[in-house]
Formats: sequence, structure tokens, C-alpha cells
Amino acid sequence: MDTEQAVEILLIEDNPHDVELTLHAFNSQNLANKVHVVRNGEEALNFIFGENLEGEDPIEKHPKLILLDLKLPKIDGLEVLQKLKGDSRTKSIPVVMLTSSAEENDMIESYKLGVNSYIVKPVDFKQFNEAVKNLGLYWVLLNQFPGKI
Amino acid sequence: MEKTSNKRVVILFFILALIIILTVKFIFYQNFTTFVKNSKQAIHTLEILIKIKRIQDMSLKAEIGKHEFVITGKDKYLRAYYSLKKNVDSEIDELQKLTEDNSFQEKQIKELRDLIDKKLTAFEKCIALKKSGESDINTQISITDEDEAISKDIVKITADIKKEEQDLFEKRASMAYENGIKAMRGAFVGGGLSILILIIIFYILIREIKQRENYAEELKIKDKAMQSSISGIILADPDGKINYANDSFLKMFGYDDINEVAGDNISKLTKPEILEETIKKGSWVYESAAPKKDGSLIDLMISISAVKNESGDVISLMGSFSNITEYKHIEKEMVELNEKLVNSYAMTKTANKELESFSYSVSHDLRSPLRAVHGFAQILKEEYIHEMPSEAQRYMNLIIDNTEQMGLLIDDLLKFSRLSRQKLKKQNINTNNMVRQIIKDMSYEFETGGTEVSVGELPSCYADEVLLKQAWINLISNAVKFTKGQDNAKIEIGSYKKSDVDVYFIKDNGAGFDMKYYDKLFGAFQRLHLPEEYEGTGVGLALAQRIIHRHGGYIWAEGEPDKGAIFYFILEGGTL
Repeated sequence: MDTEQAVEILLIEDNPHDVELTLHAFNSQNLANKVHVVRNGEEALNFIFGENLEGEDPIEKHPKLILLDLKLPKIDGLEVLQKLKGDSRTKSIPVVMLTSSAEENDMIESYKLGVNSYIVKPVDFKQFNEAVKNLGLYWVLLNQFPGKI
Repeated sequence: MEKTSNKRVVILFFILALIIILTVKFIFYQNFTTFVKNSKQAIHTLEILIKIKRIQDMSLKAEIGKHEFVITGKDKYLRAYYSLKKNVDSEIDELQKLTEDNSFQEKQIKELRDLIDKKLTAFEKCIALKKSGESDINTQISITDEDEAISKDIVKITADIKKEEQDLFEKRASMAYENGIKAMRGAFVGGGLSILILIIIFYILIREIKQRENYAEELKIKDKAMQSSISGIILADPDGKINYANDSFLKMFGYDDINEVAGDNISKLTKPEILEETIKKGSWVYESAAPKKDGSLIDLMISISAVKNESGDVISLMGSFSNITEYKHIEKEMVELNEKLVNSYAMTKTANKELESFSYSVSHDLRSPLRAVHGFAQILKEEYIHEMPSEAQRYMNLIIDNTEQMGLLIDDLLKFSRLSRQKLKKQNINTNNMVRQIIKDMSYEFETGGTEVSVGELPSCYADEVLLKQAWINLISNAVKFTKGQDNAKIEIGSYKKSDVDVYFIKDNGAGFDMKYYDKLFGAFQRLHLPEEYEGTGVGLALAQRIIHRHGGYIWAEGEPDKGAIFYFILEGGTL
């Protein structure tokens, strides 16, 4: 199933600078080529589900990890999360919230919807770097997936 | 109750007195009538005796006359005899009448009459004899003897009659005497009893009067009380017609004289339905406005009660009026104030919320660009620092340092803002464990700083775990920070009890502070040191204070430059 074009990490982030910084961090782990970036919720859902947003038809894209920001234009992070975790075809894809918000409520809601992990983006670049690297290392390299999702 | 029994007693005693007096009078009357009877009889007796005497005298005179006639033969000596003959019958008749009631005497008198008749017959015989010139001595002697016998009999009879009468008289006299004594005794006893009864009655009456006087006194006091009461009081008959109003009432309603309201119906001031209700339920209290004399309305607290007698009938209505204009005023003011308070509270709450969401979104939205600045500066440094001249490198570092500082500030600001919004989740905290854990977590800082720390007995408290931990962390971090690198750096954490309240303290012998700047100590973002001396955003203490205040507690400090500082705090409620 693993084609060289297979997306391992889906990054859903609207802030271009954050995108750049994140990619930079992944770069140091040699994971950058496995990252696909979409700029808002709508794009994200389109990317994953394609035409089959609703229904039971199999979907094409099976990223190993989805990095999701809360504050997104058009369809926001929680909605995307709800869709991802609510659809049986994408339920088991690990979703990590990578967001500036440290709000208790946002955290609660996310976990309620079934997010796998919640990371607050640190201001400090060094820490940010570390966080992203660890994310990559953990979810993509350390964490085990079944052969086929 | 007292009164009716008194009345009964008085009546009883009066009746008793009456009975006694009547009895005494009766006895007296009886005795008196007896006395009169006896007196009458005494007179009778006297008359009888006189009569008898007269008859005797007449007989004697006749006798003597006869003798003289016999001797002289002259007719003039027969006068007495003729008079006797003429009158004796009627005299005896009278005598009979006088002794009518006495059968014994009657008999005697009858005999006397017979004897007298015999005597008269004898006299006639004698006289006839003389007149006839018969001079037979024997006949004369026999006549005289006969005469003699009759005379003797007469004497005896009269003596008997007299004796009888005298006996009777004596008897009656002694009876009269006895009666007199009895009457006197009766009079004494009766009199004595009457006096006694009079005294008792007098006593009872005096007590009655005293009671009434007391009662009247009480009534007077009550009356005066009603009159002088500050509440306006009116009394009305069960139909509502006013018959009394005290001065306060008159003044309250602007009347000068009670006559202006007397006779008016109470329903002028209240509603007629209320009167009905009052009579049914017994009383009614309510607020209302009633018209004064000049027509203006006055705010009143009106209470009407139905006054009932022992049998439960309504005998009067009492109305009590209190002027509540002042209260109404105050009430209105209070309502207004309350509204204002509620409003300003709502406004404050809104303002706070706005402020908080503002500070939240500000800090939140500041983070993203800051992250970018820091990130790219860092990347720049990593990739191109060796290509930069030393001055450029210095600038680079400054940029990075400042963005880091800004990051910290924003984080602290965020923490600060979040703190006010969060709800306190209080629970029992084992302070000992919490502090020791914090110190363990900070062991790195303690080691690198070379600071010794001792923790005393810390009593448990009731607080929000997360927030309290933050406060402790801030205070301990400060202590560590300001003793860093010092020789013999010591931190002491403990507590003591003052007036039943637990006081926690953190003492260090570090940089300390000047008490001159005490009011800046807890100010947010206020620093008493230069950044190159000690790092920090100046929000740690402000945060700790905020947390402690939110728990209803209080934090204060003492310090001396270069000698150290002690921070004390208490939480509301002390220990549980």
C-alpha cells in the first residue's frame, strides 16, 4: 500500500509561517517529504474523502497522522475533527491537535470528539521544534499501525 | 370573677343581716306585745282590784247603813243600801267583763254575784223586818247570823278574787320581767350580730372599692398609654362608627379635634370589605394610603382588630395606624439602590468578561506572529550566524532574547487572565505533600542554585489544587531565584498559628527588597530588579496574590535589601 506518493502526515494549518516552521522541523527528521499541507478544513476534507464525503465507499487517502489546527477558515478544526472521528473510514487515523489555544474548553471539546493528542504550540521556536520532532518520531516511527487501515 | 363572688357574698350577708334584724325585731315585737298585754292585764288587775274594793266599800257602807238603820230606824241610813242595790249589778257586770278571759275568776265572780244577791236579800229581809217592827230577837239574830255568814263568804270570795288577781299580776309581772330580759338579750345579740355583719359588709365594700380603684388606675394608665401612643389609634363600634381617636391619630390625619372624626365610619379610611374580613378573622394587617383631612394621601401600615367579649361577640373595632411614609421612602430608595447595584454589577460583570476575552484574544493572537518571529530568527541564527559579522550576531541574539521575553510575558498575561475567569474548585489539600512535591520537581534548580531548603509542618487547607500549587510554585521559585548563587543560601518554609488562623511563610536569605517599594511588590509586571540581575516578568507575585485573594485570604511580606525576605499568607477559613 505504501507508494512513494503516500502521504504519511497531513498538516492542516492556515498560517503560512507556522507551516514553514513546522516543515522546517520535520525536515530535521527527514519527514518533510511525507507531509501534505492543506490550508483549511474544506481542503482537508476534500483531500481525504474526495467525492465520497458521505457514504460508505472506500477512500483513497490514509495518512498515518493528521496534524490539525483549531482556528481554520471556512470549516474550523473541531468540525473537521468531528467529521474525521465520526466517519468509520477515518476514525482510526490518529489526529493530533496542534494549536495555539490552551483554552480548557477547546481541550475538553477536542477530547470529547476523540482527539488522540492535544499539543499547544509554544512560542519558543526551540520548544516548537522539539514538539514537532517528537510528534513525528512518535506517531510516524514509533507508533504501530495495522497493515491496512 | 372576683367581682361576682364579692357581689354574692355581699348580698348573702345583707340577707343574713336582714334576717337577723327581722328576727330580732320579731322577737322584740313579740315580747313587746306580750309586755303590752301584760301591761293591759296589769291595768285590768288594777281595775279589778279597784272594782272589788268599791264593791266591798259599797257592801260595807250598806252594811254599816243597815246597822245604823237597825239601830236608829232612820231611813237616811238606807241610802248606801239603795245605792248598792242599784249599782252593784252593773259593777259586777263590769267586773265580769274585766275577767272575761279568766274562767276561774268568772266562777268566783258569779259566786260573788250570788253572794251579793244573797246579801241584798238578807238586807231586805232585815230592813223589812225592822220596818215591820218585828222585834223578835231570834229572828234578828238568825238574820244577823245569816248576814254574818254571807259577809264572811263575800270576804272570802273577794279575798280569793283579789289573790287570784294578784297572783296573776305577779305571774305576769315576772313574765314581763323575763320577757324584758329576753328582749334585751335578743336586742344585744341581734345588735351585735348586725354590727358584725355591718363590719364584714363594710370590709367587703372597702375591698371592692379598692379593687375598683386599682382597676380604674389600670384603665387610666391604659387609657393614657393609648392616648400617648405614637401610633394613631381609633376605636369604633362594630359597625365602624368611630367613637375614640388618640392625639397621634388626629395629628396624623390633620384633624384638630376628635369631634371632627367622631361618628365617621372607619371605612372612610379603609375598605369596607376589610372590616368584614376583620370581624371574621379577628384581625387584618396591610399597607395602604388613606386620605388626610385636607384630602392628601398618607402612606400607612394599618392593623385592624376586632375586640371580642367573653362570649365571642364583637364589641368594638380597634384600628392602629403607623405612618410609613418614611419607610416607603427608604424602601423606594433601597429598591432604586438595589437596581443600581444590580445594574452596576451586571455592567461590571460584562466589563470584566469583555476585558478577559480581550486579554485572552490579545495574548492568543499575539502568540502566532511572535512564534513566527522567534522561529525565523532562530532559523536565521542556526543557518547563517557564521556568515554574520559579530555585531549582526549580537543583534540577532538580542532579537531572539527579546522575543523569548515577550513570549514569557504573554504566557504570564494569559495565565493571569485565565485565573480570574476560572471557577475555584476547592478541596482539602495536604499542604505538606504539595510543597514537598514542588520542591522535588524543582530539585534541579535547588541543586544548581546551591540552595538549602527546609520545610516545616504545613497544616492542610481547603483550596483549589491547581491554583494553590501555582501560588506555591511562584513563591518558592522567587525564593530560589533570589538566593541563586549565594553562599549559604537558605530557604525556610513553614507555618504558625495566630488567633486560630494558620499562617504559611516562605523565608529566604537572598536579595530581599526595600520596604520603601512595598506597594510595588505585588503589582503586576512590576519589577524591583533589573532584568540582568534577575530574570522574570514581574507577574509571579501578582499572580500569587490574585490566587490568594480569590481564596479570601491575604498575603504580605517583609524584606530587607541583601538580607532576605519573608512572604506570609493566610487562606480563608484557616484549617478545617
